[in-house]
Amino acid sequence: MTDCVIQTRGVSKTYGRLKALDGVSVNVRRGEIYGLIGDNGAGKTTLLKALVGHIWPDEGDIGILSCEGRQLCAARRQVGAMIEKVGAFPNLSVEKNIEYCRILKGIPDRKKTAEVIELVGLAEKAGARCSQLSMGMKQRLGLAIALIGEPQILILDEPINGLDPSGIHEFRELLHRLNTQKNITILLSSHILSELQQTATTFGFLAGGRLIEEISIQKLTEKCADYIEIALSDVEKYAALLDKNFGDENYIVTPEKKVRIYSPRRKPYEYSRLAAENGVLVGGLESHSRSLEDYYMHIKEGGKNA
Amino acid sequence: MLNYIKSEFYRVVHSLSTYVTLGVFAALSLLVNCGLAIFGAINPAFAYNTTSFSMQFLMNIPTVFVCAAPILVYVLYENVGKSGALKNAVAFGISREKLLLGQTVVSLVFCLAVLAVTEAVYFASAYAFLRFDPAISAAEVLLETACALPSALAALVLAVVCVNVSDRSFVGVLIWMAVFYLVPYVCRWVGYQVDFFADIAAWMPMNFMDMQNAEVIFWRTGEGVLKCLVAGGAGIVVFGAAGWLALRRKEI
Repeated sequence: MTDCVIQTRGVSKTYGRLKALDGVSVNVRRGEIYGLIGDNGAGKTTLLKALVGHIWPDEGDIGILSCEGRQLCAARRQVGAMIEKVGAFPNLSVEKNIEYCRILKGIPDRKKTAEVIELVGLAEKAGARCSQLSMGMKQRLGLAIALIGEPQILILDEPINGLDPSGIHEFRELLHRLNTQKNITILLSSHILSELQQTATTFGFLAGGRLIEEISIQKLTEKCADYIEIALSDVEKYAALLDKNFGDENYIVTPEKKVRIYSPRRKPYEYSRLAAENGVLVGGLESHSRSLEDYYMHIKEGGKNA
Repeated sequence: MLNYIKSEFYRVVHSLSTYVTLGVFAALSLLVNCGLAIFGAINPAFAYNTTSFSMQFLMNIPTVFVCAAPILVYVLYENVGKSGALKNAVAFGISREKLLLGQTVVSLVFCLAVLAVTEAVYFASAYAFLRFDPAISAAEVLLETACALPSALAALVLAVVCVNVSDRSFVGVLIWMAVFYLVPYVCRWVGYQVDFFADIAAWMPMNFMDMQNAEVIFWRTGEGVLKCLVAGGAGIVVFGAAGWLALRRKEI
């Protein structure tokens, strides 16, 4: 796990009787866009707050850039964060708020302030007071503040809240650019699953304070893909028939001895006919189609190995 | 921490509230002397339009220096918790202890600047508008100020701690008032019956700076100056340590 830039081991946090986090272990690898998915109260913000040092976990360890314990403070200088509300002074202008953070982070180059304002699309509002900004503009300011230190890691909590559709699109593009061009690892949380599906490369599913699953976009795509599952009298024979007759199909044989065909290229009855014409009995044929939302709901209800 | 202090100075310099506060303090000091001058001009029998009375007025309220500290800290840090800007500093890896120390340094410089401007305006307006009377000079007030400074610094440290400890600044002010006003008052009253409390109460700034009950002017005696230094120093240490303990694991 040496390529992990953020690693938690069994992190737990309790508020009174509420267990906000329960033994959460996440692994965010360098270069990833890691999407933390969960309902309200699932523990997303609590986990992110623990990572940036706003709260202390009751149990467990946190590692950032291979630093732990007392060294975390130093490691956090490589982290840009926007947790909950935007940390800006309401009576200072956008430019002065970012300038404040530039000085705080010890960046000598004054041009960086203008650069980051331009980068997040706030050039026209540079002189506006923070208190006069719309929600979407405040989110951009929060991102600018997080970006000013040229961090290796960005931690963003619900960053697209309040953004309009074009703002969401621009934000997504910006995150991709930061990830690919500047090699910034991004950890973001959201409950807007469709948006995360288009942005993240790895997903962590949180429910009731527990991390249910960590999965890459490739595996998730595989699991969420449309598929047909066929129960057969002779699975091996049918697999051979598929190879011979429908060689372009992507299928697996499940542990339950069923054939699962991902993104089927033919109509369901063609698969039945292939079996029938070759003396294989079909016990059942089911078509499946799932979105990320369906997948999340499914694993949340206990179906981890979906 | 140095960067945090620099950034805070940047904020203070670019905040309107800084200049409004400075203006209000200067205006109040100007108002006292202008008021005396106007009364003197209206009524020739008015005997208090002298520089000596003006200085005496400040000499009678040495606690004003102590009470100004939390007001100025409140001006500086009232919105820090609400704005979430403190979270940025913590997320950037600045420890809470360093934040506390940084805020104390910034508050101290701000308070000294306000004090310098206010006293400069006070003295200038007194000598410009009032009849000169050499009985009490500005040097006496400066000596009083110097002796009140350690206690004022202790009050400032407590104010920074209170503003950070409580999520609502107003509650922080109430805590400050309880520690700086209520506790000395209670100790003094209990001290009428129990000598131990009387001894403690005698070392509390709000008691030994109370000029209405004072038999001697405290900064004119060696014992009084010692009390100022010891009480102020002890306050700085105690409130600083309490702040460190309360804030180092505070969740924000």
